[in-house]
Amino acid sequence: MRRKSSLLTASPILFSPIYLNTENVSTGKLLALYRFANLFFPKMGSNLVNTLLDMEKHSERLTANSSPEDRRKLIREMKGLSMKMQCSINDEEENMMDISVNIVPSEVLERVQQGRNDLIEYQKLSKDFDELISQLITKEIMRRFTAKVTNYFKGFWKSQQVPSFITQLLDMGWIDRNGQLLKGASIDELLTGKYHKQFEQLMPEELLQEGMQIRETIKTCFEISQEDADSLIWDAKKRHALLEITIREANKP
Amino acid sequence: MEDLRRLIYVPILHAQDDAKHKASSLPKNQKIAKELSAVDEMWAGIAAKIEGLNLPWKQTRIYQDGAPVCGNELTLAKRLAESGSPNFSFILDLINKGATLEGTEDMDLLIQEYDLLNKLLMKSSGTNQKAKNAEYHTKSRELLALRDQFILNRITGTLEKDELPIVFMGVMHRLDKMLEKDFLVSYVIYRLPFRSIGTIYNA
Repeated sequence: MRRKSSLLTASPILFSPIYLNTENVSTGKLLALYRFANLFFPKMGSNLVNTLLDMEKHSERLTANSSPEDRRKLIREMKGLSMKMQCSINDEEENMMDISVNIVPSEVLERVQQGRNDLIEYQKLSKDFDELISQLITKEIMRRFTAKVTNYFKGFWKSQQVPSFITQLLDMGWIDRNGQLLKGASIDELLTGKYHKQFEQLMPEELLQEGMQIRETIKTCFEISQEDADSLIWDAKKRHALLEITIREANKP
Repeated sequence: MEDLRRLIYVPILHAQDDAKHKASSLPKNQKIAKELSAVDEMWAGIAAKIEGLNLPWKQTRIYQDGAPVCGNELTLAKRLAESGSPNFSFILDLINKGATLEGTEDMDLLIQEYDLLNKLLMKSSGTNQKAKNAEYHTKSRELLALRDQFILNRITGTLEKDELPIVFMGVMHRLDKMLEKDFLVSYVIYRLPFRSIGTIYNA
């Protein structure tokens, strides 16, 4: 299934759509891709993204060296020009990601000249990127945990007497005869939900603990990444209170 | 070639009772109970994992986010634990086992952070508040980089030979990446550095 992020609805002046096929992406592949890109196109990826983000956030600074007259001249000269950069990544012919950047230079400069430095748009885009990445990381961690669980399940198939819970999972279509956890299986239901007790009896304590930590870490980090302005203020108040105690106590003779 | 020294890194969420105010459709009491329990579980998970490491406590030096170099680090830790910080309560447990708490942060930088928070928390109109939030994000990130640099120097400068460092740092810090040059960093819980797009490229 192709996931379309909200970047699709962003103003196309500076950014164009990013399509991400989350079903076909893992952080392992992204990391390999990143390493490859670093070897053969050093700094290109980071510079490209940083330039795009900087354009939104620090456009005034970037153009500060040119005089207002130069900028007006540049705007006139660039009228009608547009830049398109297309990047497609495929995994065995299956499309993983499309990044299509569309920049209209005169629009960018006009916005700077009018002082419309769109911080809100920047924050929105930045947040969207974070959410995309967090989804990939969640998926990858769940994949790794699934692999561990599968290893244990495989072991049960080799034993003389297969535990009834394993047979039940097979009947439910959650695992196959190789012990492989299938798509319909819910790790949440196993760890904390309906099948928690049976799962706990079969799995070693260490694995359960790891699963819980992964689950809680993801959950809490998601909450953080989805923070709104109110929670920023609330967090700031708590940190402020802690620092107040710290500064007062630390300065006591 | 000399072997890298081991360093235990615990990425922490600054979640005390603050998490309870995050948006949710649950009724307030239920929400508080649920989220407090998540925070408790997180700290219980960290404690269990650290316990399982069987660290040589008498040779363990603790470096803690928000703990300044001030000469009365222990009193301060006690005071913060009393104020309800599960993080500092846990640090006290480790001190009782024999670990040493080291002053970690530059007081001046913490004061700068406090001033920044003061500015953010001053009342203002909706539009101004948005601009203030954005300004806070930018400046706090710059300050964080300075704090990380100070902490790095502090760790390398105070750690005795044969001592094991354990570092408790908020998830927003990028100190772990800086430490990798001098130490073999072992994480106690999973590191999820996805808060900022920059982290992908600096990874």
